[in-house]
Amino acid sequence: MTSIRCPQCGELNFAQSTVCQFCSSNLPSSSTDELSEIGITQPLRVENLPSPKHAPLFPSRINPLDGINGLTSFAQQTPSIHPNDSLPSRLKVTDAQIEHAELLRNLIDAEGAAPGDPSRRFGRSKHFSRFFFSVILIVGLLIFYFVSIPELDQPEISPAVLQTYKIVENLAVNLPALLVIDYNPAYSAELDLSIKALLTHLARKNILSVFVSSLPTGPFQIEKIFNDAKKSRLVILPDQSLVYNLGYIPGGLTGIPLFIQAPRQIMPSEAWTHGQSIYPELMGINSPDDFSIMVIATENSETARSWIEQIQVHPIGRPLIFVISAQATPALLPYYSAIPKQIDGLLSGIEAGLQYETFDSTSDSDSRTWLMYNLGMLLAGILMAVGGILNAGITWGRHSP
Amino acid sequence: MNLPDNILNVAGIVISTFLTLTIFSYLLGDNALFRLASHIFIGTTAALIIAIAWESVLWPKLLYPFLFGSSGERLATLMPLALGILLLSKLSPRFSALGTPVMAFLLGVGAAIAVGGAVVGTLVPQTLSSTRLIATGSLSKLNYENFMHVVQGLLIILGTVTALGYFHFGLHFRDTDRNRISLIRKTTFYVGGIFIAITLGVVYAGIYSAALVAMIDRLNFLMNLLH
Repeated sequence: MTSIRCPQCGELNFAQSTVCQFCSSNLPSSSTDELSEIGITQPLRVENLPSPKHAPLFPSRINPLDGINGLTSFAQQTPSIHPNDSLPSRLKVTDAQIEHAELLRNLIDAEGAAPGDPSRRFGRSKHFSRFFFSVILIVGLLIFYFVSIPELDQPEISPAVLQTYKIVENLAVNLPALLVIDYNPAYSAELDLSIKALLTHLARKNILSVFVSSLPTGPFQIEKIFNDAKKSRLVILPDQSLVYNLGYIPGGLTGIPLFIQAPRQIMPSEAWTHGQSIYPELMGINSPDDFSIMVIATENSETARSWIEQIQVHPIGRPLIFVISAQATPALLPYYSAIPKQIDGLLSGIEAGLQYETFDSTSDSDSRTWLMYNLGMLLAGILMAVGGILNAGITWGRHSP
Repeated sequence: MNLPDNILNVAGIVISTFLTLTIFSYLLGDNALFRLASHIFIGTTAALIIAIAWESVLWPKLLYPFLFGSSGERLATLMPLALGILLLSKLSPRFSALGTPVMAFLLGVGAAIAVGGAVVGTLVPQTLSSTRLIATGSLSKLNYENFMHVVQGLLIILGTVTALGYFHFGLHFRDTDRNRISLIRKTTFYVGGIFIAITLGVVYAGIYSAALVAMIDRLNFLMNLLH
């Protein structure tokens, strides 16, 4: 029987040990035959200990403070040795511990494994599910390109959209409107529609629309809106001087309150001072109060909340309208439903944009988009219902005798 | 060199089509083309951010006033410039401690703005609004609208309390109260769970709606090219 002496506390440990069982310090790899020298052979039992001086090597009870050198005396750490205690040379491992170790091993193996489990049936694999559902959705959506488009009523205007329309309709003409474009290009398809509808309405009222963004990609998104507006079938921008891109609000969250308090200081622009001939409306702008309305478009509920909260801290005294993605609607509705309202108008998702366009009689959107959207929502509902029923059936089948 | 608009348009359409198809190729599984498109998007976004930071912040607000401004402007930009340089020390593990006070300053300002805004802009107005909904509805003439105000206010309070209770794990009760309190806790957990499930369901539906619109836009783009 080989053993190893701890260089820290000087006690003997089993040769297989890497950590001292007395002081928890690391053991060197070299071993000596000291336990053999003192006469210990397998199975290790206390009665086999040759002399009292080696007795503390195998304590039967472990004090919670054991292993902390200098804190307790050795005698306190190993108060008694019971002669009948057996000291097995192998660890006792319970079934539960084996199960946990097996689980941990499986988890580690799964981490390093290639995606997809070959043992799973093909029909239930993740790749197949993704491909199958996508094909159903894409084929379903594209069907309107191959069959005649059925007539589908445009969505009826909701109270929130109607309220927004009335606010824009009653704006003062001589003050510019401020539009904050705080959404990523990925949400362009959803939010551009509402922005375009608002821009058309503002342009028809001959109101200058000033665009800003607190996102670094925002200024380019604004340029895209301008370009798309130019390509629109309806001439929504009769005069190019009715739009202006002020650019990027630096500072993220900290930039928002600064912009609300002093837009000129945080966004130095030639238009404030040298734009007299083209943008005379901008000459008198010193704070957001000097705009007729503030429109904030975002897909992110946190960004929307930051704007609302900072405007609440520094009230602007002008109507506040939000153009938001459908995914941010649940987070924003409480602000719109509050008494008094913290948001004056709300355009949520593609539906609100279509409603606004239709109500404003400026819709140039393809009716196919609206059809495809409705069909996509319907297909998703059907797929979820069928999947739920199938899952319930499989679960029931497994548990039934 | 100025390229004609039609050439730029054609190039734009070709690149858009290629990137749209490569993103759609993910339906067949992760592949090199999809990763190429992802890397292009990430790289382009990073380049845009750098360009905007230089164009909107670094040059006009920091370097230009420091290099060519009046003595007052130079003095005013000296501190931001020094703090910015100290922040760059975070790139080196050896000197990163120099940037810690700047980072602490940034985080402190951000946290102060966020907390102040959350209290003044959300917590207080929303709490007052919930009570006002009930008060306005119950004290006014009984009609459908006022009745719905009361229901809405009560639902907000119930949802807030039970959803908070759902996430409360550390409460300990005396043994004598165990049975009675346990029922209350179980009910709170159950009702809070329903509120949370409905909320997550609505959020999921919104995410699906947004993604569906994006997909329809891209499909329309591809189909219009073919037609």
